[in-house]
Amino acid sequence: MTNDDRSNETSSESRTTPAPKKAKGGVDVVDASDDQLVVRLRERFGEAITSAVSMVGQRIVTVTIESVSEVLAYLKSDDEFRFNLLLDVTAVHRPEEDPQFELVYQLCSTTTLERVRIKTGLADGAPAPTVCGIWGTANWLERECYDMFGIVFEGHPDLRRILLPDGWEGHPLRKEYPVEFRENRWIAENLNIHALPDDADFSGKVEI
Amino acid sequence: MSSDAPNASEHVFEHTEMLLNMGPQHPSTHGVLRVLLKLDGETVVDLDCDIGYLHRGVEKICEHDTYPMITPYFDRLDYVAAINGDLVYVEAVERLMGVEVPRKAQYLRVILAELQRITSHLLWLATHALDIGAATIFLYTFREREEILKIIENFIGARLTTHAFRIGGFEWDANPEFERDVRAFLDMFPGRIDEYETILSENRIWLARTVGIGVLSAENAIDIGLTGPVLRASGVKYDVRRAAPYSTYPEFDFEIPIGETGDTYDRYLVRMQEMRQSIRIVQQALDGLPEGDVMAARVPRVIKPPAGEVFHTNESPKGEIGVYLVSDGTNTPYRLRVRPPCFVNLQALKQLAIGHLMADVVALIGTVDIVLGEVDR
Amino acid sequence: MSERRSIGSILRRLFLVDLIKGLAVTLRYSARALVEPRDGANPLQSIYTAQYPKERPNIPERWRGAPKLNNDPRTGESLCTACNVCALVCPVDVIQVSHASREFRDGEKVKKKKVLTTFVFDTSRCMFCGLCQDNCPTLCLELTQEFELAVDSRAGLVWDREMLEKGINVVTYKK
Repeated sequence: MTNDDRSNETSSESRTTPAPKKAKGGVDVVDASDDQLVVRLRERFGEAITSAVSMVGQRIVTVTIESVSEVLAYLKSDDEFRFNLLLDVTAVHRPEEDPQFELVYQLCSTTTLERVRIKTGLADGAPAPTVCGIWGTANWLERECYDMFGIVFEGHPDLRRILLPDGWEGHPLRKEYPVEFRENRWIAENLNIHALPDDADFSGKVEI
Repeated sequence: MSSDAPNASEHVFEHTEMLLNMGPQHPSTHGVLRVLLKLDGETVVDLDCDIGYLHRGVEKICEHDTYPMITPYFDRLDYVAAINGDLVYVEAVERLMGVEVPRKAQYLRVILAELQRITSHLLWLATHALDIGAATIFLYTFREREEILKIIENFIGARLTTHAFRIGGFEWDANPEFERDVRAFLDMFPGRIDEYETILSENRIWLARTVGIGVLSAENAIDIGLTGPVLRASGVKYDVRRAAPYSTYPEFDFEIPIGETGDTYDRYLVRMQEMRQSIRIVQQALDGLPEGDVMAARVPRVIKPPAGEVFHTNESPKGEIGVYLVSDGTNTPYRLRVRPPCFVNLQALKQLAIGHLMADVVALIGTVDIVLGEVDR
Repeated sequence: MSERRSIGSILRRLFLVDLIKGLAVTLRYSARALVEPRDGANPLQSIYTAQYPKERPNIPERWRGAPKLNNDPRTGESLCTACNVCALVCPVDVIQVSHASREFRDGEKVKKKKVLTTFVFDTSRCMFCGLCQDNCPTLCLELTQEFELAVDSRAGLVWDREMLEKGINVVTYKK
């Protein structure tokens, strides 16, 4: 990591730091700065580690988007931690917050059995770094993230929709996407199914 | 596939590779999985899975439903192991709320989850063997699976989509005959596993179709994120029941069977051993079944977990199933993510199949043990 | 796989021992099926198949099948208080409850009471999770042990109050 990169991080830190929320009556959020893993990460990445908390006994480390792939690569390759199993890559959409998206990586080690959750904030429309080069698992998981949230992973070898058909409009897990619709252009065009009228007769004698 | 190809015959002679479409309506894809195979003669050169035919948007629906209403949806993810799906969800909510589930309920949950693991493995064995061509075993395993389904049916009230657990415990205590029925099953079942192994383990056709097919090294298996029996067959001793213990699993004595070479035959052996270990767990849980309530006393009528998040994982028969639950303190989850073991494991099919014959793809889809309800969600 | 062939294995092949063993199993099951009584589906007996519809299957007490609205056995009135909890708790919105308020005389005073008017249960979309039954405060809505829900039109799958109180006609066959 060069000095230029570092200066970039510090300047953008105020923008990409989602402070740990302490909601009223929420789960107890314990500061995890003393944790050995967090100490090691802070030593190495400094300002890139924006927060480290523990919730329900689970470690959550928040990282800036610029350095997330480096942190993840380090966690996998480091001899002491060996987080060699990437369990999940997903996102949470919070339209009222800035940045809107939160990328969540669940890591696990098959040798030490430790677990950690790495989170990073991501603005709407901004590209995210891919971790396909670090774990093969990330391929489909990132494709699903793209399909459901529209997050573009830069450098992904094969970024296209996975669960929804190609040409589908919108990304369903974004909060502005409706949970059901009666009319859908894709369904009407591709499957020739049109929404039934509200007073449809279900006696078994529907004329199509 | 080649509507833009200039001339069909030219196309065939120019290229030695052929594209073959398998599925989505193919009996051995265990649901609606479409696999595009690129073949050189009969050898698979490349492969692409087309999934999503069963996508129901469960994660989106969950954001609009209250917490108790979500449990039935988890039955319908992995519909051959519905109880394991229920378990991970209710435990995640309980963990976020800090609900202490009575010990009797926890023991009963373990018994049901392990019985369900056996049914799932039996169904896997039946369909996997049927795909390869051993039809007898199908009838044998379904006979025993039916016995477990009857136990579950008598206890819960449904066979497949059970909706077994409520947040905090159970709706009902076990039926009076439950213990007797389970004990009768435990007495009968080990002999039946011997029977399956007599049919398959040294069967020449079975060995020819499974030994050395789809070998995965341990590093490779971890890299593509495999979990469950598929990972353990490659020699990695990783089981969530031991790695991140949940419920009352630390109290039971059981082993984690692992394989050596990581081929299809090893995955078969690991699953057979797992069934025997499940029997041990059920036996211990039944012997030590505590007395008491089956529903936690302080569960509110309206379930509103405190704002926060939790990632809870369980060992489902297919692998590590996880729930990432983000709550904002209201009665519906803000975000609910299911970490699907089948989805991640299916990704391995490409690595497994390349270089093998086309007929082995059927065996390999079977050995990964996928359920499309969970792959597509 | 090693290809060792002892004299024993050659003899076994020559005299078709494995085939005869297999046939013996089949014959044993067939012979037992002739003498053993038919007792539903019992794995310890030779006949595993239940002879439905001549034999009714043993449906467990807790089975979640066709919905039913129970009446008070003493007065014959519906137990439903139109509280709408079942409709609220249903994950797939299959229940519609409507009510009217009716005046009635309690001694000197005139009181108002919420009474059930219509109750629509769409069994075509029901997934029989049993949440409505669990949450019913008066034990009115119940999922019964009846399971023969097939009808020949989609309209028949939407059950009204009358149908829910009456239940389905079960056709019994002679043995």
